[in-house]
Amino acid sequence: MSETTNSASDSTISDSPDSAVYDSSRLQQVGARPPLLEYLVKLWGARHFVVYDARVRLSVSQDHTILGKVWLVLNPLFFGLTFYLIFGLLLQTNRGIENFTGFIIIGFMMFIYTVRSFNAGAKSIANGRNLIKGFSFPRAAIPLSINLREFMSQLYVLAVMCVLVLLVPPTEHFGPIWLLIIPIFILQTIFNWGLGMLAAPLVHRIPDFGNVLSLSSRVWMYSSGLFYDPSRFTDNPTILAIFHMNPLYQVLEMARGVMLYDTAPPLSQWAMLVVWCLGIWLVGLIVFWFNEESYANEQR
Amino acid sequence: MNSVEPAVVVDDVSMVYNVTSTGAEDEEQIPGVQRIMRRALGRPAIVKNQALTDVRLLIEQKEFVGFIGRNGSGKSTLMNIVAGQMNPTSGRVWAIDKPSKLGVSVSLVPALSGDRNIRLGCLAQGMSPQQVDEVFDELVEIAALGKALHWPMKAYSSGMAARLRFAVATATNPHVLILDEALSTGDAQFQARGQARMEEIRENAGCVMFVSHTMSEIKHMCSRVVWIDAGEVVMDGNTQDVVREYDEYMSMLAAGNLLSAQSFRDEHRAAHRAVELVDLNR
Repeated sequence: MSETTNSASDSTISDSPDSAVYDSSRLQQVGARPPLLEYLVKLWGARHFVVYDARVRLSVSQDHTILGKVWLVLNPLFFGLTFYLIFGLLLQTNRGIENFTGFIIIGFMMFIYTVRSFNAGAKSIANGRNLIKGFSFPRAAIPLSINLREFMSQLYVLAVMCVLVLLVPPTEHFGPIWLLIIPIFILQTIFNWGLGMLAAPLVHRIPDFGNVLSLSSRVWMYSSGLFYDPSRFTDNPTILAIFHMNPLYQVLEMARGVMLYDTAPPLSQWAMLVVWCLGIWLVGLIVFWFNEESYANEQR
Repeated sequence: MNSVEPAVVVDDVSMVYNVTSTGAEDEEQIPGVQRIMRRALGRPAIVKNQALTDVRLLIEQKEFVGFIGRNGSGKSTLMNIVAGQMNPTSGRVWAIDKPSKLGVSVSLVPALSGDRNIRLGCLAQGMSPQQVDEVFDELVEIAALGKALHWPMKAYSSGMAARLRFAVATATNPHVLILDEALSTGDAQFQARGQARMEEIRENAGCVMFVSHTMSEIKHMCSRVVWIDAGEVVMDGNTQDVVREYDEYMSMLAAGNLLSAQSFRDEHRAAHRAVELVDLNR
């Protein structure tokens, strides 16, 4: 045996050339993170993928049910009617708030948008694993596509919300001021997108955070004045200021003002929301981009 | 010294996995606070698994390179790293173009139908909707799925999923195509079709990296073969020589001559001299 071994290895010793000169500037490094601007350009290049991914995922999201896409409308409708049933008919409470049913419906429907986007965005790397493993697009396309999907499904929710506010007593009347809902909605979307990009690398690196997500959105719900107006409970300016710093509180307050109370939000409120949304978006983008190379790694 | 136009340069790549282990004897344990913490929480120990050690390869354009080795030798890890799906612990990989890889697990989005998966996969590779429309019919033909094209992908057999993924992966005419046992689940018709398509890509100034356990496939298609064992390159040379030596090694193992197999391997390992890489840009 040993003779054949030696002769075999002797004959194949000179297997490859000793040295090779190459020029790496004519190649690209595999998996390396590009500079931020170039990254954004690449993300723009992935827009067709993002839109198609969001569209088809939304369209199959209810395929396992019998009623299918009807649930996109039925879900918010049932929630809204439940609030009307409990607070409008059974309890007949208003906690000193004009049109309390409308107050809760708008609060809930706007609030769950951020919660849904936040949860889906935070888990986007795990959910997009097959695509990440298969192709090498900029990974920010995944949280973007998930937010776009939530954006599209929120359009149904907003339509239901408007119909409920118009039809469920005490009814409101449509006015041009309602159109201000559109910029509020867009700002909220930018906020959600940034939040998703911020949370996704965190959950990817430390999966334990995935378990804390539902708790944090619960805490957030209570501190956003979903079911109450905090100024009814406290005069303490510090506590009120904390509530007012919460961007979601501002979103709910502005949406209610526009749809229920015919009041356009003051400029200061717009300014604050814009700063929050763009700030979170920018921080989220940078954090997500900075971790770009890590998304390829499997968790243990 | 010869200056070359490489398609792929694997520059001193090493890979160490940290994995949880319920029997942590042979591997090296991670040191420090983390280990104590995990023990206190009753979590399984984390051990280091050296999957690749200082792999150095240069693959030129128009090369068709086969990768052979036993299970767990590090072939798939190397393919994942070259494709950018995994970051090496140290070292770098350069490529002439984004590598396109087709692995064993080939599902895309299980809930989506085949035709939607084809479209999604093409867009994910950066094609525009118009480009997808242009090649779509051709891809459908390559995948040859019949009416299953409109079924959700979770209803596909592994062979059908492999056909679809192959069609998508080759849609952009990639310059670097990596196939990790991707044809093994297909039938004879698909394998013939796949081989023809790979030949086209190679003709197109690309290179193909091909992992297989089927020596007839390797001999039939590859111009060069790399034998990897225990994360190291044991041999790198022309197909006939490497496959012959590898066959001999495997028959020693099969016959139970573990010691002579080991020394046979070690001799080849010692005889192998990795290519000295000189980067003009550094």
